[in-house]
Amino acid sequence: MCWGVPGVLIDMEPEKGIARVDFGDGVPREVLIGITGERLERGSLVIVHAGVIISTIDEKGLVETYSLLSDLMREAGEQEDEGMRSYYDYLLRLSRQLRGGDSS
Amino acid sequence: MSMDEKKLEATSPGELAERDFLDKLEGAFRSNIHVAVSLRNLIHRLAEKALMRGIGRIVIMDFCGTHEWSIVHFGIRSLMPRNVELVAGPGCPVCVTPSKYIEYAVKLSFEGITVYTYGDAYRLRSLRPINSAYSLQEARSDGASVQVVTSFIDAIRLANKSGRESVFLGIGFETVAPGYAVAFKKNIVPGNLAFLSQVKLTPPAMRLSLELLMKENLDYRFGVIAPGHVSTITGAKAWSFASEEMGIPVVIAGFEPIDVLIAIAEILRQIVNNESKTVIEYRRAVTWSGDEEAQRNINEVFTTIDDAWRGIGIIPRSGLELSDRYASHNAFEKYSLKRISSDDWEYDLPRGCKCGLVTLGKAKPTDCPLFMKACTPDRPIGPCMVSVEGTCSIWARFGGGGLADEVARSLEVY
Amino acid sequence: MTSKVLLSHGSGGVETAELLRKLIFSKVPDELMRVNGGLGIDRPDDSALIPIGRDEFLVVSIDSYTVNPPFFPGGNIGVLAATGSINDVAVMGGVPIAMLDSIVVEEGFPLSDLEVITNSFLEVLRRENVSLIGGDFKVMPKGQLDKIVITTVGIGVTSKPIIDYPREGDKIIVSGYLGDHGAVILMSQIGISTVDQSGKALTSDVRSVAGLMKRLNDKLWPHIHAARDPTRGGLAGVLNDWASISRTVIVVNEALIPVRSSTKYFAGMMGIDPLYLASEGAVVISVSPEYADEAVSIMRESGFENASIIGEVKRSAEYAGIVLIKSVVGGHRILEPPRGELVPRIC
Repeated sequence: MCWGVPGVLIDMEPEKGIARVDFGDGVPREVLIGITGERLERGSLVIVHAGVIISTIDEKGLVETYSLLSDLMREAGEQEDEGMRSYYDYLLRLSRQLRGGDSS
Repeated sequence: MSMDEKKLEATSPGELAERDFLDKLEGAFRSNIHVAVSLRNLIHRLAEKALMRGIGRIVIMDFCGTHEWSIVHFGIRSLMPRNVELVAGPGCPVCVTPSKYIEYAVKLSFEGITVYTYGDAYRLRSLRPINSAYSLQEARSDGASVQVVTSFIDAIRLANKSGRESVFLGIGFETVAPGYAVAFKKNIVPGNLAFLSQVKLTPPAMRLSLELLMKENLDYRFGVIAPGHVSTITGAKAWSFASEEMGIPVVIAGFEPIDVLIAIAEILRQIVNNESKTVIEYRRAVTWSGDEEAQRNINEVFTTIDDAWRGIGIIPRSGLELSDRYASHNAFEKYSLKRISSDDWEYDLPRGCKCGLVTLGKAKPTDCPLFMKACTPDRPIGPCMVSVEGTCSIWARFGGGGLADEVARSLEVY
Repeated sequence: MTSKVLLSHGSGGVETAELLRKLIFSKVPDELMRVNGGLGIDRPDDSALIPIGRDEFLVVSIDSYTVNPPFFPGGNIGVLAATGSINDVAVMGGVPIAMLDSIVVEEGFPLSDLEVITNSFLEVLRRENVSLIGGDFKVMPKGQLDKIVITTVGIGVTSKPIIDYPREGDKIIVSGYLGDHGAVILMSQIGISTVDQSGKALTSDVRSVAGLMKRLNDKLWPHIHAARDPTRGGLAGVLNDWASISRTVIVVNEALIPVRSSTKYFAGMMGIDPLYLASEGAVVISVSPEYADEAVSIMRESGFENASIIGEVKRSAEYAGIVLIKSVVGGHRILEPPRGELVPRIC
């Protein structure tokens, strides 16, 4: 019911409810804007289902999922190892990059 | 500046950066073996804890065909401890589309009307043939005008171009509904394109399946992986009835393997601690209240109706019909097609097929007497085998019933 | 079930095999399924073998090309028709020497387009040093054919045939990115009416593998136990054929299978597994483990930089015929043989 794929918003025609999205294959495709227009701008990372934008990828959300994961680990008495720490850094970097900050 | 020029300007310089975003996203939730292994260990630890607390068997139900797909595609069942079972619930809009409505679409396609359909519904078989065609695929091979599209906007564009009388077979859940709604609201659907609404609402179906399950004396503890993409629109709040009224742990999860593993771990944690909460794992895309404009648009363009689910029956307030304002686009009105009501609903699955029970999560594909005997992906009988997202089809094709796991063990390739 | 021919009957998967078994293979007497001492329709392989003297074989292959659209990013039906049959001969261990062609065109097809197509066709033959020794040309009335169909017969010679029979312990190696051609064609057919196809995005991978196969075979024969170009049906089709021919289980590691990221993302968007998409310039081989690294080096030195060992052949009495794939998170699934039309999905 929900095959959804991420893509990057290229441009919008809000008066028609239409936007163009690049799904990573370099070809912009027309999609319908299913959500609040104010959530979108050029460059937004969006999730598209059946040609409809259903959400954006929220940069804070990326890091929040890590908190859920690390709470789970901590409660179960698992050590936060090097791999998990670098995973956190990875999500943090991606989150910053999404916000338009450093792109390293 | 023309749209084409704009397109070129917008795509050339930034392209690499865009790909980079997507690659990194994939790295975060898919191809990260270290995190996957840590999660697998965590899940085994939690399952042991459950055992120590006297909880023998734990069943976790996914409600979304795409979750089931991820579980099978990434072999997640083979990572589970023995006492944790993953089962599939009603998550396939194709499987629950009544036979009658497929017959309507086939009939229209033979009457010279172009039918646009998603690939999923293209092969879906009806109970009765129309002009000896049991599906849109067969109708097309008989010369009917059927075209597979990937989105409503494709159908709009093609209908505009051809100018021919046409119908869009509008299946889907809350996920695609706001797209349909916005197209009607912005008035971009041409007059020659009618809409056969098969939009279903998921919370009523989840409630029904959970109530049916809870009526039985369960000898196991139970948790739910709730649909991540439906929730982007409805919000996580749509599922809280399950945790609050029924005491079932619910996690709204994304669709990458690491998302699913985190969701399973959280459900196990709640079971071990005797909690029941609705928790969002898919925090990068889902909020508690969902997208309000999308909800508003759906309410403006559609009316909620009691709707027929294939092999299940009429579920109250579980479907969407175009509202009167858009009646001229409504294929039911335009072609005088009758909606199924509770009076004339009939069991619409082939004899012996357990798709209804499989869809409700009450039976596994391997419990069906037809599975992989009379009913195979080559010769599908029930909709659960026809739809690529159908649980039976997924199990048959990818060994979801444990075959992959068995083979791997026998070869010692772990 | 159905009394009509469906598109899925022609997609080269389970349905095609079943239909052909019923209509043709079951009705040909065993002694006519091959030329005595050779190989024919008794074994599904890329080409037939006809003995022409001591340890020497004629390698013969035929294929019809009906690509829609006839011009696609990275090539056209002319390039495809020439390259496809050359590749079929090459993966049989043959050195391609000659070709016959049959072109059927729809009335009204632009002559200039036809010339571009035939020029491309001849250019491939020139480059590969393959003689054109015969052909046929016909026109069908408008509406009775979709634009153009080209059929080619590829002919080669070899004393080192590769008759596909993977052995236990073999390594499975692919020459590079898979699925580009299938992705381009699907993209041209479905849901992209607004897209300009100037080639900025994906292009077909159509190219000859004759040179590569010659180098591999000269060095490694008879240790290459199977070779195929993963066209229709993709890698999944090849591996399932092999597992079933050799009654083995083939185990591959998804993380090691090279797929170009634009192809991966396109396939992801369509909800299609790239392992089922066709390649037109790639090979898959099954080779003795002690020669696997050498095979990879030869591929890389021959301009196939993304060559990679992706898995191995295992013996299993109980599960023979199955292809098992290890996912990126360490779980397992069965890689099923291709079936049905490749249709995009939303679910």
